[in-house]
Parts: sequence; C-alpha cells; structure tokens
Amino acid sequence: MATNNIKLISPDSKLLQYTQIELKDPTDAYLESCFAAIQQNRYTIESNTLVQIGQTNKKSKDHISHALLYGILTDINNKAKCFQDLIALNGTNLSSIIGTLETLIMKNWRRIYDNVRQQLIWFLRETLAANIDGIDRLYYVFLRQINPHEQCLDLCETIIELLLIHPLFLKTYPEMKLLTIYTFLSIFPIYIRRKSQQQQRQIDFIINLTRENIHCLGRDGIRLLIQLGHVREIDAFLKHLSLNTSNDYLPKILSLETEPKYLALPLSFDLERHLQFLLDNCRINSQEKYYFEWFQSQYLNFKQHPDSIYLCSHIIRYVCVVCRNQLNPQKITRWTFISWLLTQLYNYQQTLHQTLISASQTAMNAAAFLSSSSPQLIQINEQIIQCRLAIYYDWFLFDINNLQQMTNEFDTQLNSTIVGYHLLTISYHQAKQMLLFLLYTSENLIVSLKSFLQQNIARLFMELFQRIPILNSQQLLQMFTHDRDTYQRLLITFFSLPMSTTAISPDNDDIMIINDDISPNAAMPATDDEVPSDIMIMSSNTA
Amino acid sequence: MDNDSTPSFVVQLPPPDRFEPTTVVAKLEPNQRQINLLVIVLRIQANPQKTREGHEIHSFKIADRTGSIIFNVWNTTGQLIAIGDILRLQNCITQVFKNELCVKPGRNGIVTKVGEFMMDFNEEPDVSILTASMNTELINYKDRIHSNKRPAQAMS
Repeated sequence: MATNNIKLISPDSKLLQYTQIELKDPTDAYLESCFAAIQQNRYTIESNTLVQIGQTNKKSKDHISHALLYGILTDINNKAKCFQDLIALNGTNLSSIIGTLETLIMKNWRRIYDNVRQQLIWFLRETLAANIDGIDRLYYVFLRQINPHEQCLDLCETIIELLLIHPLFLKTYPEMKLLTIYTFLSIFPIYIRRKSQQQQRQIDFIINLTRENIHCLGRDGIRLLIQLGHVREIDAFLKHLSLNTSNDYLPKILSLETEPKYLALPLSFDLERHLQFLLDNCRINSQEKYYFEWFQSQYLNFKQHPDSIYLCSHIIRYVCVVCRNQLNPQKITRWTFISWLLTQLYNYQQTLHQTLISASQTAMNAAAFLSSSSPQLIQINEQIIQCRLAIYYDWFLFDINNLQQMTNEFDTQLNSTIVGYHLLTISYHQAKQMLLFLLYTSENLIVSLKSFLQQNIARLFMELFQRIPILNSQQLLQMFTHDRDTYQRLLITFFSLPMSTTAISPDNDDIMIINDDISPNAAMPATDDEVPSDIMIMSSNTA
Repeated sequence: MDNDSTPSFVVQLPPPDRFEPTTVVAKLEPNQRQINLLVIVLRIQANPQKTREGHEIHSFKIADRTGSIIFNVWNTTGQLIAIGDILRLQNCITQVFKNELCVKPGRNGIVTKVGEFMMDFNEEPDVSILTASMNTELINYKDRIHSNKRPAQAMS
C-alpha cells in the first residue's frame, strides 16, 4: 500500500480553534487579512493614520473597521485604542461590524478561544455603554448561547450583571427584554443549581422582569413558570397570578400563543438548523437511523451530559409549534421524531433505575442509598412530564372559536395539536400514558379552570376525529376496559359532549394509581398553614 | 497612493474557496485517480487496524446522493474524522482492498472537513461490493500487469 502523504497542519488563527482537517472560517480569514494589511501597508495600530484614511477613503473604511475589530479581539493592550478609533471612524453606526460578529458567533461559538470570548463580552459591554445602533442584534446572538445545550452559565451571570448596570438597554429594546426573560426562565432549572454568591440578586432581577411582562410572553411563559414552581419566589408569583389577579387575567395570558421566536430561544443555532434539516429531509427507513443517531450523539447524550434532559421539552415544543408537516410521505413525520425522543428518555430512565437498584443491592444501607440517589431519577421523571406537557399544552387551551376553516397544514392551532393526536396511534403503551396524563393534568393543572381545560380537550378530540379519522373514541377507551373507573372518567370528561357540569374530583388514592411516574410533590395536598396553589406545581425541589 | 493622493489601504483578501467534485460515488471503479468527492461519513466500518510499520488504518463508510463506499485513511486524519462529518476528498484514488472497492487519499490527497450532518445521501447502492463484471475486469487488469513484468525478469 502506498505511503499516506497527507500534510496535516491546522489553520493558523488567533480567533478560532481548528483541527488539522478543517478549513479556515471565511470570516476569520477576512478579519485576519484586514489586520495583516495594517503592517503590509506600513501603518501601526497606535497611530491615527488609519482613522484619517478611513474617513477620507470610503473603500478602505470597511476594511480598516474590521482590522480594528480584529485588534480588539486579539490585542488586549490596544483594545481600548482600537475601540476608540472604531467609534471615531463610524460613530454609532457599526452595522457592518455587528453583522460580522453575528456571523462569527453564530457559526463558531464553540471553537472561539476563551480569551477571544472575553474580548467579545468586553466589546458588548462597551457598545452597550456607548449606546451603539443595532446593539440588540449583537446582544441577541449572545443570548442565544444561553440554553440547556451550550449552558454558558458564566455568560448568564455576565449578561445579568450587564443588564443591571445598564437598565436603559431593556427599556430601549422591549423585545430584548421579553427574549431575555424567556431565555432565563428556560435555563433556570440548571442555573439555580449553581448557587453562586450573586445568584439571589440575579434571580430576583429576572423574576421582577417576569412579573411585569408575563402577559406579553403568552402561554409558554406560564408553562416555564410551572416548571420552576419549586422556587419560592416563583411559587409565590404563581399563587398571586391564580388567586389575586382578576378572573380573566390568567385565561387571557393562556389564550395568547407564544411566538415562534421565543420557542427557538432554548435551542442553540446549530441545534435549530440541524433539527430543521432533519425534519425537512430525513427519509423514512433509509436515513432515519443515521440522522437520529447523529442527532442524539450531538445533543441528547444523556449519559455524558445529564443536563441535556432539560433540552427535550424545548425541542418538542419547537417541533410541535414551529415546524410544519411534510407533504412527502417518504419523509419522517414530526410525531415519529418525538416518539423516538420520548423513547430515548424512557430508556435512560430505565437505565438509571436499573443502575440504582443494582448499586443499592451492594450498598450497606440500601434504603438510604436509593433515597440519596433518587434526585437524578426525580429530575428525569419531571422532564418526562414536561415533555408530555410540551406536546399537549395547546390541547388544554384549544379555542374552537379561533379555528379557521382551512386545511390542517395552515391552521396554527391544529398544527401543534395534531402531533399529540398522531402520537396516540404509534403505540398502545404510549397512548395509554398520554390519555392518563391528559386526564390527570386537566384536573390539576389550574384547578379554577378545570372545566374550561377539559371542554377544550373534548372539543379538540371531536374536531380531530372528524378531520383526521384515524382514531375514534371507542379505540381510545378500549385501552381501559380493565379499569372501569378510569374508563368512566375519560368517557365523561373527553368523549361525551355536550359536557356535564359536574366533574369527578379524584381522591388521592386515584392519583397514586394512575400517575406512578409523576414526581411526588405534584399532588401535594395543601396544609393548614399554607395557601393552596391553584396552579399545579409540576416539579419537585431538587436542591 | 491613490490618484487623489489619499494614502491607500490595500488588503489582500483571502482567495475564494473553489471546489467542485469531479465525480460521484456511483461512478467509482477500481484504479481510478485524481478523484474529488463531497461525502458524508455514515459510520465507522471497522476498528482501526495496525500495519507492520505501525500505521493505523481507519475505515469509514461514506456516501453521497448516488451511493456509498468504504473510505480508508491513515493515522491522524482517521482519528480526526467523526461520524456525521461532511468531507471534501481531493486527489483520491480507488483501490480494491480485501476484495472490496474502497477510496483512499492519493500521494497528494487532501481530506477536509467542511461541515456536519446537513447533507443528503443514499446508502444504496453500496459500490464497495464488486460486481461480477468488475471482478472479471480486475482479474484481467492484474494479468496484464503481471505479463508486462515477466519479459524484464527473463532478460535479467
């Protein structure tokens, strides 16, 4: 066999890390060539000549501005001078520079050197202070790095501290305020476990913002708050929402659909692109196993990155609401993907359970071992519930009056709800779990709105049975022929319109039977010294 | 200096990246040279094998829209390739190795990772499996090579 003579040299770069087989990023190459031109043209960063040239020669202005940007990112000693010159050259209009940074960060965040990241954050800080036009675009790409996949918990702290120092920014850009709230509510389940010194101040800041703006986020804002119900301040806020505000305040928030741009926030740029590609292009059987395996190894590697379980409900919500059905029958469907994702979660849950059981068998004190190791199991159980809620959330809030007389593909309400409907056809066991989930959650999610939520589900079932006759009520009820009580409850609650006004209130024993995988705190009865919450707390305290 | 006496600032922009695949997987045959392909790595075909000289041969299944084939690459390059990578193969050759058609970097071959995940592909047909006609051609080719060598040996 001939000798292998491949030359392996990593591209030389001060901005990004490359392996020996990667190409240099075009933005990196461009910035470097602009900066190299300073020396090639025999100028120096320290002199004012560059600014003079840029001011008189428009063709060179863009190149010089990018050279100064490169100086900011790579030359700590001269960053202040470079920034000063950049402002002198461009004033507050840095749109071209911000566009370049957007591209650089969106495509390369993971391989940016740590020192360069620090410089990027320094640049963000300086441009916030200087009130540069279009700074919201740069802020947005930083915000998108805060998600359950990338995490970037240091960046969380930095961003909040920046916002505390520059409160005018969020007032100037109200859209950024809402995006910030949604981002931090998504990351809080991971972030609050960190327990840093400044954390309480930061949590209070976000919660204050949330209180003032929850009505603008829509129903998914409430969903994220429910997930954080174990946080004392959020629990108090939820109680306030349900008990102390006017009767239609909470229903109004729930009737507002959250815009897709918020649902994309917990997903990194790469994840969103790959997910869209997978759902648009993956062919059944021939490509499924490859794309799914790659997707899992990249984003859902639960064993190596346990926190990736927090990503699942956000992925599901995005797929249900933002993505559309493929008309091509050879391509995978959204429900196939979600069913696969749920299966991975269940498998991980089983693996964890088995591991704990076998470890407890060798432990001296098995009971103590199990109870101390169970937070992990509680977390995975919680996230499975969050995933189911993400699938069926719009079912509880389905509004038949808003339903347009158009095909399924074009109606946004039906677009998200048909995913849950088709999931009922995939497997018997899954369908049974989902129906029980719908029943229990409709009774306990928001107690004061129980009838409203149940009627919505009943109407949606009726609508779906007519439009997509792949299921009927008898098929679904047949799963519970061995359990007459649940059969009756389902029949009365969902499958016998017009609805009866009396609803069955299950006692605690029933809850234990039908919901063996719900976290123990979900059905906690109110104690005498505590105001009962109207909204079901769906997570337990894992501190 | 420019004509208007303003000092100039000349930038040598990086050259544009031009790459065109010269062929596709489905058209690969034994003993071809200077092959350029754009492919995606489907899976690791076999565990890395060590040669007597201590080189490590990494074997992958790669594919494009027309089919799949085995890709053999040595040492560090093989260690850097992961499943799901989109690769640009330049100056590669095809070879029959262990009765399977495979592609590998040539003397000046270059393997470059240009992306991940987002490429359409077809695993079938698997071009590594030699057809009967290919086998016959290969045997004839080997016979020709051997018969060209014999007269030289006789003379010495």
